[in-house]
Amino acid sequence: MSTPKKILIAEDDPGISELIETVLEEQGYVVEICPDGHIMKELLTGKRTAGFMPDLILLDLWIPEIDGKKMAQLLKSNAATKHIPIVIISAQRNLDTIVKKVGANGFLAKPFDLQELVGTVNQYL
Amino acid sequence: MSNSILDKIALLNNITLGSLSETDKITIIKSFTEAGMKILEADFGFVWYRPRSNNKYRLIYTSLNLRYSPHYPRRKGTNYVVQHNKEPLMVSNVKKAPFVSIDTRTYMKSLIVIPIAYQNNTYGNIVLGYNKIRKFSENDRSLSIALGNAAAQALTISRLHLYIEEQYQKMLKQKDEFLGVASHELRTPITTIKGFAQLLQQKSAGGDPQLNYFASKINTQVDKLARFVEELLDVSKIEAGKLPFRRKKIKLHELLKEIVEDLQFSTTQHEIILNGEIYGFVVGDPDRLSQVFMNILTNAIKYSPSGGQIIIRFRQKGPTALVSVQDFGIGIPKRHQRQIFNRFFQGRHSKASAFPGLGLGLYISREIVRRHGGEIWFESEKDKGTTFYVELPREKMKK
Repeated sequence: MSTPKKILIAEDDPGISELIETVLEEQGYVVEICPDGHIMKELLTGKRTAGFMPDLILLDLWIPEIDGKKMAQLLKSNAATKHIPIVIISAQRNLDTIVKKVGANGFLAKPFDLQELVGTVNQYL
Repeated sequence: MSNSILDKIALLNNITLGSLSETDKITIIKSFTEAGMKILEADFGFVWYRPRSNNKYRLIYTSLNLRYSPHYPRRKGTNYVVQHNKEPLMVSNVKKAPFVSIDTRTYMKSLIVIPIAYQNNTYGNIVLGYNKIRKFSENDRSLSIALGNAAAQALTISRLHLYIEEQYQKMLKQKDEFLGVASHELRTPITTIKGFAQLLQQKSAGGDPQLNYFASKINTQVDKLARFVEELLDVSKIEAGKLPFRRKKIKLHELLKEIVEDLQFSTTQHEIILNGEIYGFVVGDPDRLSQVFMNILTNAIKYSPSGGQIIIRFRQKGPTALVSVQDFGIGIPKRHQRQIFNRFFQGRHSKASAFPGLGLGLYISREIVRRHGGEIWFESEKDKGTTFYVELPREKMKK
């Protein structure tokens, strides 16, 4: 069996992150939750070693003290992280335009249901 | 003599009535000053206005035949005397009145200074000037007082008009902002509740049937809640003029086919039939137009509770595409027909609780259709059913 894929959830709302964690762990993924920007900063500054790199980032646009759009752009322009697919999670609309603008891979618009969540994640892993 | 007094009173009355619908203060002041010149037979007139903000006099109106520019009022000049006494000052011979400035004395022989005031509301003074010496009568005094009072009342009303309008606009804006933020903040907890309810339903399947049933109840209710939140958000965007639209080529027939396939799942009592074909396409936002037809079709299902057919017809009418949705349900009572596109309108039926909703669907649908350059309307007869029509501009298919 191959090693399970790792998913980073950058989301400050504990309800949402717990829901996503529950659902994705059932699907066999390893989930790491980050309610602020610190893990992404570690990724950008090279403090994370290869074995601990996520295979997918679920990124909320509204995280305290972090500009979600800018974070996505930084991750996508960084040599060490640009291969990691980013799926934007937001209650905002016109997410398709935001995805294009920041170079992310996909989006989940709140309120989403579980099939959409699993379907979107599987699409990139 | 008495006739001319009556004429003067009638003129003042007309000016007062005319000013009631006026909101511009200069226009009001101009019309009262001109009326004052006629009523009191003055040669010219001007107005020192005193804004509430800084208490400083400002010359805001002069009649055409005023050939000099009045100097800024002195500390103890006529303006201050009049404002203090709150009654008109009538000077038949300016040379005998030491408090009239030298400058003013050069340009007029007699003058009246009328306070624009009533009760505690003061707005400044109307100054009427004469080229010849004039003796003032008691009638002149009474007419001056009436003129000053009427002008002040008209200005107060206009100020109130502006104030109310300003407050109203402010409230509208706050309401839109509130609705926007609230709906946005509601989407996150709705996602969580919906997700966990789905998990609960999955986990309890095959176990306790009651538990599973409860979970499915939560699911349908949360879906309803989610829809209401979306509707509220749409309305707040419409009101703020910010409902976003995309422009894509849409084949109406295919759009409707997808919606019908989805909807047919939700009902076994109704048979939804697609009839006809439309060539070419319309340009617009597919999600928004889906929303319109979804709304019309769910209404058709909702308001034909005993089931039956729902027929969708396509027709080409010159440069437009016409889609009609006919149901054979309870129909819309005559007394409601004019209101159903209004915001928050909900038809009240004998079984009121049988048809819940926010009453926003058709309001939003009409906004969407109109933004696409189209129109939406209906025909309905009680107990026979309703047909909704959506007409949209059609683009020719390029080969």
